[in-house]
Amino acid sequence: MTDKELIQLFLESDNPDYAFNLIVNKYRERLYWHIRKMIISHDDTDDVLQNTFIKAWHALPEFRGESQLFTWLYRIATNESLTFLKKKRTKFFLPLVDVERQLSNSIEGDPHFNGDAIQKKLQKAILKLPEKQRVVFNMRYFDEMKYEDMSAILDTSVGALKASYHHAVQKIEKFMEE
Amino acid sequence: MEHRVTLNGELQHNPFVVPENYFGTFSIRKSVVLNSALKQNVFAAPKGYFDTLQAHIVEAVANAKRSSSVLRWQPLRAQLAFAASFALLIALGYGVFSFLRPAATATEKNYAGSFPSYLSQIIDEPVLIHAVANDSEHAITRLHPAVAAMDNDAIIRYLADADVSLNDIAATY
Repeated sequence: MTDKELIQLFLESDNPDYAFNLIVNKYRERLYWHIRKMIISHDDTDDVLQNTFIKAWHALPEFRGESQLFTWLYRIATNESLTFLKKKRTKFFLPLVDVERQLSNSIEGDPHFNGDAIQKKLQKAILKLPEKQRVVFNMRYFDEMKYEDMSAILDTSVGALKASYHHAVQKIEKFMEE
Repeated sequence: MEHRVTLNGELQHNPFVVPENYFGTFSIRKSVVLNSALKQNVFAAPKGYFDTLQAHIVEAVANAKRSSSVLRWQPLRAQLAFAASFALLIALGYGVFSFLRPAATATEKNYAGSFPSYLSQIIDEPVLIHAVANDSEHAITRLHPAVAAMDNDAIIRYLADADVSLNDIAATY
């Protein structure tokens, strides 16, 4: 079923729960991995993913199809992830660099991390990027998402995204050479 | 005399040079971007996580729906509590006012508008009709002081309720 059909089913049928289940079924894994690359910890990712779908449920009745369902859900997931990291910082009065360190440490001890040493180093390099640039890098590098879709999700111009990705790659390569 | 440079064939040769054996040792610099092995997903989810994820999300959304319906009452709860407090205050104020007010006389208090039930047990209707028919205030007062304080409508209503015939009542009044 296409996204348009899913939305129509949600908005017009007597059983929106059924349509919503189909939406969850279609996007749960993609959104999980998108969030996971930002949050790193599985348990925290699970919380953020639940919140993402709860927000989507509340907002779907107002969804008028100005954007694609896919970009709309990614936007909620991205915002929820950034909000989560921000809350983590403010809750423990942590500077940005300490959050990065915490996330890096959680990679070290994460039983659900399958990467080798070089992949671990890459993840640590990514964690050194500013949060928004990290999202850009992950979307482009790992998900190979089109800049146009990223632009719709992140509400940033294609040019700015390209520049951001270029800077991210440079920083990461520099870190990898060290 | 002006010397003009023309783009002749001699100027067409490449003036740049590369370090010795540059092309012999050339290789593409290792780049994160070009290393596709690094692109693979290195994170894993606990075993069976995605099998139960759907159910967990549906449950979380259902819980959120329930709590949001409770939350919808949250602002009203404050207003309702305020209204209840206000009503309680009014009731208490009225109670205090009634308590402090000088006690009303028996006649004012109870008997002006209706016929008290206890009187019906001590006054027979024919006696009441007789007293009222004679229009003797003394006779009525003698029946009971409370009856004297009552208006005629209340007495008529009482008599009608007591199944005294309307003819008798009409004859009385």
